[in-house]
Amino acid sequence: MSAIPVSAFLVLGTPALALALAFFLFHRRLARRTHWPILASCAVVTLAAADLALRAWRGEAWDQTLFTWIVGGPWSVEFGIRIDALCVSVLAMVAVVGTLIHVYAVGYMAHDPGFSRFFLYFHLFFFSMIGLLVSNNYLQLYLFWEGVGLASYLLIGFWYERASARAAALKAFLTNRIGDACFLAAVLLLLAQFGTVQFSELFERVASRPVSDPWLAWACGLLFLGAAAKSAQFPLHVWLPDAMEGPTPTSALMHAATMVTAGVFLMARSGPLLEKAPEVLGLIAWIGAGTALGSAIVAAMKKDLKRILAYSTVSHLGLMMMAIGVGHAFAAVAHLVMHGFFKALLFLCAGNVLHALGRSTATVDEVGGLARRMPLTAACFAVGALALAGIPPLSGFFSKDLVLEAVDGRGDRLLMGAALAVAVGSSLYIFRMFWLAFFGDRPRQGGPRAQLHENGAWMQIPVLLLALLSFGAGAAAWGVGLLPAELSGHTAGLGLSAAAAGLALSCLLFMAWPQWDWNWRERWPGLERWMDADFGWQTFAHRVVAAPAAAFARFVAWNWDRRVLDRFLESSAETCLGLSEGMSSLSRGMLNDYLWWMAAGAACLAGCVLWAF
Amino acid sequence: MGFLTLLWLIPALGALVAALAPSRNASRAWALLVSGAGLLYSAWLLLPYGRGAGALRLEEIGRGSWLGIRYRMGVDGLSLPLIWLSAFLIVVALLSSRRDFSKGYWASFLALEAGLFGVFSAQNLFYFYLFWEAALIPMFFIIGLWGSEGRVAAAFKFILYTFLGSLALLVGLIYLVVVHHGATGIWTWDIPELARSPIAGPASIWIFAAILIGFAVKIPVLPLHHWLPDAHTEAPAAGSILLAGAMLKMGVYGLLRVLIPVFPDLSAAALPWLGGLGAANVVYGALCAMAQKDLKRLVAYTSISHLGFCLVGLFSLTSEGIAGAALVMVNHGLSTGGLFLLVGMLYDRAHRRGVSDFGDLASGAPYFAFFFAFILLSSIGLPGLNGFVGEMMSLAGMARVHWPLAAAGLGGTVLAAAYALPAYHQVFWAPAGPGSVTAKVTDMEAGERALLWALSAVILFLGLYPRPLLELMRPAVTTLAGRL
Repeated sequence: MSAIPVSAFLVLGTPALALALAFFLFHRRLARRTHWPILASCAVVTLAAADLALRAWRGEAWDQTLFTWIVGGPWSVEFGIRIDALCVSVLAMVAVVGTLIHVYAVGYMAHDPGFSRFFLYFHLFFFSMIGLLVSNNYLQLYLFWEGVGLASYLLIGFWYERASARAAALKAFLTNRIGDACFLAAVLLLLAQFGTVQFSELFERVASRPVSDPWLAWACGLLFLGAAAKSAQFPLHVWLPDAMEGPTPTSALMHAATMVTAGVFLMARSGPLLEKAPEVLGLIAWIGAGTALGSAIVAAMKKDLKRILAYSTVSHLGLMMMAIGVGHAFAAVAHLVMHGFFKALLFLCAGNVLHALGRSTATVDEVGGLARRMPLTAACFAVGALALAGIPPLSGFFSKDLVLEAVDGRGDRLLMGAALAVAVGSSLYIFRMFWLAFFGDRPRQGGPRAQLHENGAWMQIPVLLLALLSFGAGAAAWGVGLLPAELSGHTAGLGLSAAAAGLALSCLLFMAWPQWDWNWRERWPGLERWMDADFGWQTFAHRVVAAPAAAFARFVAWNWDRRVLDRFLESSAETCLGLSEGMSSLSRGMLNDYLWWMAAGAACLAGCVLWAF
Repeated sequence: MGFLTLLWLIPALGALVAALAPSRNASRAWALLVSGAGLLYSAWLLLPYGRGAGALRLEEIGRGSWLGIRYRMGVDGLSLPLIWLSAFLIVVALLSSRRDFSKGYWASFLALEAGLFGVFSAQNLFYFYLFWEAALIPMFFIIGLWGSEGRVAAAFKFILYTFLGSLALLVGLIYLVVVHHGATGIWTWDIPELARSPIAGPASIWIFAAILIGFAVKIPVLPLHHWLPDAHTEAPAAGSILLAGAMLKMGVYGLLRVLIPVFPDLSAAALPWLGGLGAANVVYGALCAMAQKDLKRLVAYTSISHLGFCLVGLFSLTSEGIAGAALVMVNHGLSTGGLFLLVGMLYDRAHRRGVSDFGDLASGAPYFAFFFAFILLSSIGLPGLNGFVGEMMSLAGMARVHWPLAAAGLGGTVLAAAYALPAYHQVFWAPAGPGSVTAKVTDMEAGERALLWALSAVILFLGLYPRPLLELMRPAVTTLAGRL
């Protein structure tokens, strides 16, 4: 193992330095210029990540400890950097996509009074994600994991004067905190069992354990719950749709590069542990399948543009988890990277529309026929939609095919059926959105009556570059041999037919019969509500977890702690007082009383004596 | 005169001078001078320990003893951080106090400092108890004379509870010495002597229970926590800082220094019960905090929750758990002290403490918003800031011996977010309501900012590099854990 390259320190050190500079220097004095150090840092990180990617491609890998963080009796936890193929493949995507979204945000946020604050949060998000990727042990990963969670919380609640933004931020943080507690439980368990959480040492020690070791199964299950919260898998996916409350660049970053990919990365990183826990793997595959299918259906009925994309993310993350569950982390990571490109593109296209409309959210009722006014955005969105649907030769095709192959290899027909149904669903919902938003101008749509126009260069260039990546990244990776050269005709055919079926269905439902999307809602409003709440899960989680927890806290604090316990303890003083007053009233110096008491006492005594004999 | 006698004697004499000073201003200046000197002195005491020599440093006066009572002081890696913490918080508390307090106020804080220093450095139980009681009295006056509306009731509640606790402690200690004399024929109040030959038999259970109750009231452990919310809420801000930051630690320190070394077997037998009480403290305190409507009460209940982590760590009886508990003591002192400091600053400006009395402070008072968020995050255990390390180590220790209790403690970390963030949202983010006092809150002045920058720097440093502190504690922790 050669000496660790400077680039590894740059990817971590530059954002930290830029953040410090922006916070201490620019934020107070040059608030409109806060993006300067931050964009510079993005550029450095991208170059350094490219350097690392090239080196890793040549087969180099590093794992180096920097300093000891915590020493606790039998174990110690270090700060370190681990650069390997898994790390750089995600890192390269995160760096490129993250940088492009940073550039986009300069245009998008230009007129917001919180411009400077936004860039601080945004870059903290980016920095935490990079730290997470290059960590060499679970606890350090956890540190950055929480950093990602914190930054997402701050960004979701960015427009904090809105009650909905505050509620969404709180929901995101609390749901993630539940996942984080599970993650930390897994870390504690691993520490207790193996005495280390450093990846290389831990995986060595795990290798000698038997398959289905109960401790390992627990650790893997808990790690998955942590990943499920971050990567929005059932039952902890509830926060992600609400996370749309933040500015659109946040959604793009969160759904493509940072946040949600962290969970899949964690699972991929934990491969050697998961190998030893086949039961947990099966569970992951099925939870992934259920989440992917359910959210694809919900995405096909949502009206809010960003929410459609949000459920689409949940669905694709479900696909990645399926790949993890069938033991093909490679397919999951490949899809993660490709998904990063096209999902960022789709969100930024939605952002273009919203920015032109001058609002932070919009439903399909409020748009329609955008293609005429914003042809470039429509074209880019089409590229993203085709990539998402998995049409060759766009990027999504290659990675989705890998996932399908992986699932097919498992030989479970039901699971494969679910994966194909998801493929149909993805194609359906994304083209539904495309038709409804960019074509038509249906009678029910208010339509953009105002003069819409394309946005400035800060926003156009990143979108175009992302469109290029979404178009060609898959083919390029395949061409240079990063993806396996052999494409299975069987799964490719199945995947393609599924995508085509979804496309045809969307044409039929939303182009040939444009009233359909409005008519069914009027006919079955209950069904719409039920599906709108994720098949009732959102309502259930609120009624069964959140509301009772708050009510219980109020009960403990007021009814118990204050009213019962406090009153009981304070009454003890009065009881003492009352007792002593009662006693003292006995001794008022009345001889008659004393005599009566003496007689009564003597009688009692006599009674006892008689009874005893 | 020895270096440890000087440690408590300087503030004790300083208190006398402050009380007799010609004017309030002179008294304040003198108190700041003496507490500053105390901070420097305690930092100087810490220095040699940075290089790995963490063993006990003793100071004795006189060879003989009467019934085992002799003046014997000593500091090691477990007591020095607490001494430094007390000195630091006293300086913070005095700097943040309004200038127009009377001479008694300044003198009380110095007297309190002397008591705290004494408790954290006594090696003989007789002197330990003396300092323990001596620390209560100034706090009683601080709450009762300079607190807010309900101060008198709160002060009496405080003194009654802690006095009854002290009584149990005193009975336990005397009984311990007597039984120890009966078993070994030696009269001694020295902690190491008592630990060397642990007593056994049915009496030991009663002694254990009595001493435990004495310390538990102070920590406080459920269900003896009742004095705490009132005392914290009614005390002046500086008093709350000291009460939560340093005085609660006297109880945990007592467990660490007296109870566990003297009764290793009983402690081990009581592990699930006392660890369980700790986990209950964590959850109960957090649940109560979730429902509070008064900022100070909220922070007070979080103390109950955090001190639960100390118990969880301590009664795991593992070296990482004990080190974690010792670290939680310091971290809690910094973050909760910081929170009381901030709430006190808000109260000084607006004369209100209700969560819903404020709103939208983030726009008008960005420094408040930043520091409050920063310290709140440290308090709820965000990794990278100080609070996390201690909690994680305590839980790691417990996970090794009794994982359901560790899981319960982890549940507390979720609840922590549930109490901290909604309150923050209301005070700093939500639009100000009709009766809000937001307009009265001016942002921090340069001096206040400097104080908080210093605190934040320590918080960040201990979060990313707690190693010096852990190395300092290591010899003492290893000795203690090795005996169990």
